[in-house]
Amino acid sequence: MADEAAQRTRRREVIDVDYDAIVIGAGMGGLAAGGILVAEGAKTLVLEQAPFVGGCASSFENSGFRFDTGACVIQIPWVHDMFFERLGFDRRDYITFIENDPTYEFLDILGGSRFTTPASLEGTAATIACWSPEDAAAFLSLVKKKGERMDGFSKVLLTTPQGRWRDLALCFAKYPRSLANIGLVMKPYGKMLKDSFHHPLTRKLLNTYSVIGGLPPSLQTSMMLWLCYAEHQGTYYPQGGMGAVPAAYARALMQVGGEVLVNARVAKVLLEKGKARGVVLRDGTVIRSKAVVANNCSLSLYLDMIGEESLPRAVVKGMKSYEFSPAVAACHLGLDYQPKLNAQHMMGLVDPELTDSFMRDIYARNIPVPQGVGLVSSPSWADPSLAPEGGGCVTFMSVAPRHPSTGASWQDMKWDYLERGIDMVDQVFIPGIKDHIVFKTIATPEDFEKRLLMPNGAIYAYSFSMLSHMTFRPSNKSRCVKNLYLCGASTHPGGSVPGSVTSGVMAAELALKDMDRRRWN
Amino acid sequence: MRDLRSVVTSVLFTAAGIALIVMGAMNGRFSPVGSRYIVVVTLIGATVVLAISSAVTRRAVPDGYGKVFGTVSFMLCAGLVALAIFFGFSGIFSDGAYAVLLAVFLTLYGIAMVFAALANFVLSDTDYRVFIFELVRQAPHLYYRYRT
Repeated sequence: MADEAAQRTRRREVIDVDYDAIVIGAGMGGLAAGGILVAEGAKTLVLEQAPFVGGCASSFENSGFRFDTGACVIQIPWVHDMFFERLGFDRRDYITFIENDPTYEFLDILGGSRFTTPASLEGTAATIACWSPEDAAAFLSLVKKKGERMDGFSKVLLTTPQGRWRDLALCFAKYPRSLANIGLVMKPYGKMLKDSFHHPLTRKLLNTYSVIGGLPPSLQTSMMLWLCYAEHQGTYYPQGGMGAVPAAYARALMQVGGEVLVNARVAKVLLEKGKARGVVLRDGTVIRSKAVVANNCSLSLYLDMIGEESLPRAVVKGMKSYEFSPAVAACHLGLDYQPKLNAQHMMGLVDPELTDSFMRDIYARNIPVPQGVGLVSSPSWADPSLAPEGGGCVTFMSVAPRHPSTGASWQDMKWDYLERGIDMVDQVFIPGIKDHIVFKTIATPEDFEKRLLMPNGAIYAYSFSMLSHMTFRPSNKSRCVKNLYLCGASTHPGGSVPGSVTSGVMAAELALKDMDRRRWN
Repeated sequence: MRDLRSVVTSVLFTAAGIALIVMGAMNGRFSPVGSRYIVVVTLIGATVVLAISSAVTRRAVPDGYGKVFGTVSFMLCAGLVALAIFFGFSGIFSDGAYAVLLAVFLTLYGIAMVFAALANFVLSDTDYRVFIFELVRQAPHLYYRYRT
């Protein structure tokens, strides 16, 4: 489907059309921005360096198996409904979401127990009650009551750009109930687990959401509990694989008159008197526009495509101060059977202290840890069409350092890492899988960096630390270059598919607002 | 977990801080000569108590926070001694100016000590300490990030 989008585009050597807006990068943020711009009447061109759309939310096919490149689940589905509605379409006509219920199967790696968590909060509370009724009550009280407030606030935050301090105040003004949760902001996630839950298994279970958020529980804010609430509002898998989502976005965008150009890598943003006026492609082609929306990583946008010499020193310093989110290694396995699983996604559980230790090893010491903690996903469990008849596909993703301290490059150690990953899946998650592998490959952090242009292979771009969030993340409307707007994982509200989509919508709205102002003046 | 000695130190710091604020607020009621005597005795006394309690706390906290806390406590104690010397033996101000200066310094110093007590109480918990030190580590970048 992504290929279909690619086929419907064409490459031009000389582009002499003046666009209202050019979007750099056809990831989820870029496609969302492009769609909104076109729907509001702006002549828009979306440029993608890869031969496919979707970036980290795409799929690839090999030996008849279809694997997800990075993202492998749909959370917060309303953002997709919102996008298609804005274009005058119904999302259900473009993508079918298959509900993940149960959401996960969890495996207590050291304790040995296995259990699933249903999609509803009450169902998960009932599961927790099997080992600790007190924790089940605490779970419902904490996650349900506070989660509802957090969810209301997150809807405001996901749709309000954070250009200035007052924007955050505006969010609180729009949803004052969120002020009741302010204590959670400054409470470490690990501390909250210790104080609120007594059974080690409950702590291990909820510790998962800290890991998904990309920070160890000692550094994560307790607000991350919202993720637990949000996942219990429903998680889905798109029919046809994750790549079906960006393909649907691209199709909708082109139906309203937008253009998508693949294999078009932008080398420079064209600047005139401090204003973005288009882009220069790698082959030298110049494409002019009234506004530029960048969906690529803001680090490469500012430091490479614009250049340090064109930026205030404070901005250069700010860009260099960001720390990256974790990188991942993904082992993709094609099987001659579909394993009998209890859920599409499986996760290993470890206690918060051990998580702190292994994340410190990865972040601070760059040690590739044994892959005990990670996500095993079998897309063919949800959608059998993703594997050849009777077969199945499984992907194992684990956090990994971009630059291993062992001295060996990923090129040297990737196959050994893959074999260790297969051993781990065989021993812990799906016993016997080793004998059924007919295809295997691995994507390392280096691959993510080179193929998807994600600096450091960081899946959420910058760290989810509180001080690189909201106002402190690169703004959706550039503060230093006029007519330049930013979206994608490296800007507000941050990594993940929903975050990227809403960042695209916000960037497009800011660009449209400025275009309107210029038109009337 | 919060160490009992850290809690005791925080309470002492708070008490000393509140005492200084009260002294500052009540300064107008003292005669200049009498207040010099009271100020010197109180400040020296507070310094001794705080120095001993913070030294105990410093030994109780195993990681780098002990050093940070020890240094901050030492600076606060040294500041108290300096205040005692200055206000005890200074004769360069008129009575009115002396009273105002003393009131301002004592009040500000008292507020600083209450904040130090609060910070010590929060940071003496390992979980909060790790979390907040990480934020403090990133704090110098905030202005630059706000510009991006």
